Amino acid sequence: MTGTLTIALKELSDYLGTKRFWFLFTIIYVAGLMAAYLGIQALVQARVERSFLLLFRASSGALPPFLFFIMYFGPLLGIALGFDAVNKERAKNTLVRLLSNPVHRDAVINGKFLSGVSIVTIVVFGILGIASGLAIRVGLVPNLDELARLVVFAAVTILYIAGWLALSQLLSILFAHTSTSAVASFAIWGFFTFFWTPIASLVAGNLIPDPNSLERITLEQNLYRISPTVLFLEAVLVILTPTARFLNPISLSELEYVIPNPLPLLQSLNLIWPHIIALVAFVLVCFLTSYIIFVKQEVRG
Amino acid sequence: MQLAIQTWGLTKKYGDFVAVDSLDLEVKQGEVYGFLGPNGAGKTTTILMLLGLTEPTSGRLRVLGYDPMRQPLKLKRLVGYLPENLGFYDDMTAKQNLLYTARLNGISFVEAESRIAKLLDALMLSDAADVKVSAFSKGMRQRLGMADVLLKDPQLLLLDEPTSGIDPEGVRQILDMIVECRARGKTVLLSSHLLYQVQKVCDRVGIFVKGRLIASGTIQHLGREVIAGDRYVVEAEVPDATPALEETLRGLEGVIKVDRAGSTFTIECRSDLRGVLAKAIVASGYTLTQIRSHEYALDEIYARYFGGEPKG
Repeated sequence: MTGTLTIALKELSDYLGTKRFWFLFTIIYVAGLMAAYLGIQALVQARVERSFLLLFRASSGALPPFLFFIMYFGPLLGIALGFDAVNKERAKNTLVRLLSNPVHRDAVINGKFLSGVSIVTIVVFGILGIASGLAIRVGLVPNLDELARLVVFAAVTILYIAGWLALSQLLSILFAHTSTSAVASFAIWGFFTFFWTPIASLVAGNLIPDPNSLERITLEQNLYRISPTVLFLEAVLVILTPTARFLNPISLSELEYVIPNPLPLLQSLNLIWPHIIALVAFVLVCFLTSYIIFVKQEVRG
Repeated sequence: MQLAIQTWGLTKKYGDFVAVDSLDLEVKQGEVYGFLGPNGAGKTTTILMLLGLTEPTSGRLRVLGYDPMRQPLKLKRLVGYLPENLGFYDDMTAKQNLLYTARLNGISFVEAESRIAKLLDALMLSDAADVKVSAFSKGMRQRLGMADVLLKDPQLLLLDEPTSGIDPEGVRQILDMIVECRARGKTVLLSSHLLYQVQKVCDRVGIFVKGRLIASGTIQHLGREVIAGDRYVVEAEVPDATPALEETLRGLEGVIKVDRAGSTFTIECRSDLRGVLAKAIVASGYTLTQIRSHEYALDEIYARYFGGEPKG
């Protein structure tokens, strides 16, 4: 454990010292603030609902809402933090020297992951804090339930980005060159972010031709959910929308009995438990695979 | 004497390629052992197995009483390893790099500071302590590597080609360090393809070719056994030598062969006959200016094994 912590602290100071990190950090903050600002403008103009949480999913149209912005750019932060975690040490011949000291191999992976997650946590809470500050300035003060939802939103976001971090770290173990692992990470990100939904629709359409059948819609939806991006989006939409009651299609007759009032946070969480567990599994699978491969791997480049 | 390193039939295969072939190695505690062989002979693979960083395909090994695969952490606390391709974190200064190693070894900050100051001083790196390693020359990196290894005050040092590619002054400093380590009772395993340096500091040498240890012992022992076929070779300097003297020496009991090149005699005998030979030369009325037993140079041994021209 001491090894893990030592490595984590060293990595943390490394990240904070690189231009790459500050470059990305600035872009994320500027873009995040823009999205929050436009969200607030949209809210101020809106007449119907003026809730604090709407800030994160509303948009005036010039930019996608804050939520989408996190969905797209969050993974990039995770990838930037992880894609060269192990192969850079290998290329620079520091891995052998590091491992000749009394540290377990898993401490290397754990330490690097831990420092990455710390950075992600700082960035996510920082950006949500600033956006909330902006909202409070224009009079959108969150109540206790909304505040709790904001924290859950932050936690799910960190989990989602941590998944991409773990994935890129795995690729940095699999590939010897940092450029290969970077390209592979971006390719997977692009695939799940842009191409997965149309592919899933195509597959579902071929299996069940009737576009209106419940089976078709359910299949399509479940296929979508293989993508961590979709899982994140659905989970976060439920958290940020207290009135959201279902994720799956329901019949009109069932809808008749629905009372359109907001759910308490625990009920919303109930709805998205499977999503959260799937995201945790995404992290764990990447992590365990990294662990198994790295322990068996030759230390020489 | 206790053994620092012992291996039994240690073998490492990569697919069909045999990197290390049933190696039986014994290194005594407190000695400097030279691991000699051309590049690609399996020296580095062996060292990595000794540290538990590479898993042996078969065979057993014991390093400082530990099994490297089973008790790697305990072992790594006691062993300092200087890799052949030495890497440091280029964005960090020399001192920051060493402090990181100290933290990984659980050395307290105060203790680490004083050790680092001493080591950098001993290795003439004090001025560069706060310079980023990216600005270091090859020789400076290598010396910093020695500091990195010595920082944890190891009992056993595994040095993989510690002097390759650096200038004579740097080589001298590193060899001095090795001699000093032996004086403090540490065991050193030194891998190299540079004969001259190994010869200078090693108590014993093992010759490693294509994954096999083909000879092991002191340089004198190896020379006698390998080159001369277990004979003593005496060199004598007689300025007024004549063919008659050659005949006289040939007639002596125990002399096998006498060669003369000008005033220099090379005499092979069954045992150390220096006294007898000297007496015979002087008694025959000749001037004897020098007589000594032949010192085997490592390159003779090396050339014998590898057939080619030795490097270095």
